[in-house]
Amino acid sequence: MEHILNLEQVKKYYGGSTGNITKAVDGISMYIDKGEFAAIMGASGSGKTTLLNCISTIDTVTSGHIFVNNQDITEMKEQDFADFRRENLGFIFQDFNLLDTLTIEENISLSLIINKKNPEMIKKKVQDISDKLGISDILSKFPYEVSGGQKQRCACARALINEPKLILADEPTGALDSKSSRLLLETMENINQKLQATILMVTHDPFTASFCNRILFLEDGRIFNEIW
Amino acid sequence: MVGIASIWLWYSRFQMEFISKNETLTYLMLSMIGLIISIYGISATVADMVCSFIIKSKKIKYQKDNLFLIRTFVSKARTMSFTFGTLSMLILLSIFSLNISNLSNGLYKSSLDQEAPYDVSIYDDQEAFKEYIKVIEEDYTVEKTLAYDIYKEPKKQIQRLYDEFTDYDSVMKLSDYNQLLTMRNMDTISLQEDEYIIVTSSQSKYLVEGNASIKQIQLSSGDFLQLKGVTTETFWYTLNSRSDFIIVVPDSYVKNLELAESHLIVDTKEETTASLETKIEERMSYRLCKTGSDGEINCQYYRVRVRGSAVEENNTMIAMMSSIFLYISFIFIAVVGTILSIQALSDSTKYKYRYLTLRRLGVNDKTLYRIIRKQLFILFGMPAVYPILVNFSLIDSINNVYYIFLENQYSYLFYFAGGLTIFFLVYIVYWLTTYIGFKRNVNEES
Repeated sequence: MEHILNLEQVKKYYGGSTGNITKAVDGISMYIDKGEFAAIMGASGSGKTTLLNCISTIDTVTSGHIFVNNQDITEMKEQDFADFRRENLGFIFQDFNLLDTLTIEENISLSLIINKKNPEMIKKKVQDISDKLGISDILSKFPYEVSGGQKQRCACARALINEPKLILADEPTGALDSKSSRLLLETMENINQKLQATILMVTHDPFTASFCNRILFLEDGRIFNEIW
Repeated sequence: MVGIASIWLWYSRFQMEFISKNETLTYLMLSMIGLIISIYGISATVADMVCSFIIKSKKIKYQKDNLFLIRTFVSKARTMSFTFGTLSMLILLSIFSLNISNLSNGLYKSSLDQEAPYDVSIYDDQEAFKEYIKVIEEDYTVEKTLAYDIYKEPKKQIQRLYDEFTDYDSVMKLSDYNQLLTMRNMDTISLQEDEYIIVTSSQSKYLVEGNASIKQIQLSSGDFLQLKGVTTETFWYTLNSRSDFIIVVPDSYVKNLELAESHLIVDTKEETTASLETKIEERMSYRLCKTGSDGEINCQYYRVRVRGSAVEENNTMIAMMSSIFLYISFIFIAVVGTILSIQALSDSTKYKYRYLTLRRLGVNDKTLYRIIRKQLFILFGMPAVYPILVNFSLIDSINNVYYIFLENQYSYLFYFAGGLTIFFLVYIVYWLTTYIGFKRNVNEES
């Protein structure tokens, strides 16, 4: 099976000059295969968001290697990070992070605009993905005009539209009620199964994690258990 | 539409033939009210108009960062439309004040020549001229003197076109006129035996130029003269004391004309000062001051004009006016720059997540900073566009009347460009500091 994501002894330490070192990620080795829907689960402060930030190149590691689609991102230069994120990764944030000044359609097409795609292609792809996620009737609305669940599905669409190698979701149900959460998770399950999207989700909620086909448990910056 | 109509109204009334009319002020005020309405109207609507144009065009909409920029600006403009209107007003007043300040400086040179083209100009009886020269020679080296006369032509064919109280046309000999030109290092003129020229002020030129009724005039002697031309270059306030024009004729035609007044011109080697004028007024007060029948002393000091005195008066006046307008302008620029800067920096804190989202979606730092620069450029630039256009129209129309006081008809363009340069130099400083602060805030978040 092709490893989309491969971590080798990744460490992320903070502090040091005063003698107090915080080991947010303490030697994690793991992999995610193509088409997997995996979750990293842990309590608050376990290091899961830090790990996600390292994988997404938002943060740099103290030591170790991270391979995304066989590319070692720990060896990359800072100026190449943006290009890498644009071409390989998709993001779903807890707070949706939709741009409030753009319509739902424009938010979804943002990744393609950044990638300088053809306008006709952008329109077609947006329509396509929004049909799949059941949000085509709200494309002309602004984020403040739709529900939390619809916003998060829009965020999913934005993450998917560029056909990234890996989708990173940071507590995607954190700001949703139970009904919307279920709807979103079913959507993510759907896109994983039908579109073969590889998803790595970070969550502290067991119900959310139950939708995944693999769960890694994190505590004090280390993986201590794993279930399929 | 309101703006265009207002500018047209202003332009149509700010002309030489209308400027002194009573109703002109009413029209100008109506025009100003219309302009103010148009400024606020445009501030409230231009962002949405531009947005709808961009959104309709897929090509422009999806090009680079257009979508993000226009949507961000429209969102801002909708919440700040009244503020933008006020900022545009302040920018209009600021640039206008700068232009007036520059124009004031431009007025200086030409008004000086108009008021005191020679070192000393005196209007009195010829018999007293020797005494005046003696007073001047006490402190200065007299290089050249010229005494000339103005005569009365009773048929007053030119005077009827001017709204003046004299009942004659002021006439001067060609030889005297040419001597005046020589003393100013100007080229002399020639006239045929049956020709004459009119020398008049720039603001009155329109009364005689192209007027068919004075193409040929008949003097009281019965002779006919053809009009050779009208000139304003050599009209000075001290040329004669009674009218806004003189007729220059060949010398022979003044033989039988009555004398109206005599003038003395003195050219000194040294630059004159205001103290010379004071000295002449004191020493010659017995000639310049008369006691009326009621015992009141009436002094006609206007009959003596020393260039040094005009220089000092103009310097003070121009410096004062120029400084006041410059100060007003800087206050307004500072207010506008500060408000826009605070708004932008406040947004950079409040909406940091937008830039963080763009970063996470794969926008690199170079592109992100470019987006921020463009965003600030639009924020600072939009309120300035319409005021600059309006200002140009206002200054262009003011030039219709005031160009006569400037070096030439196009001088106002340099003053306008100069005013804009000063405005943008200060404005750019605000823009730059805002950009640096904005970048810092965005980077702090990430």
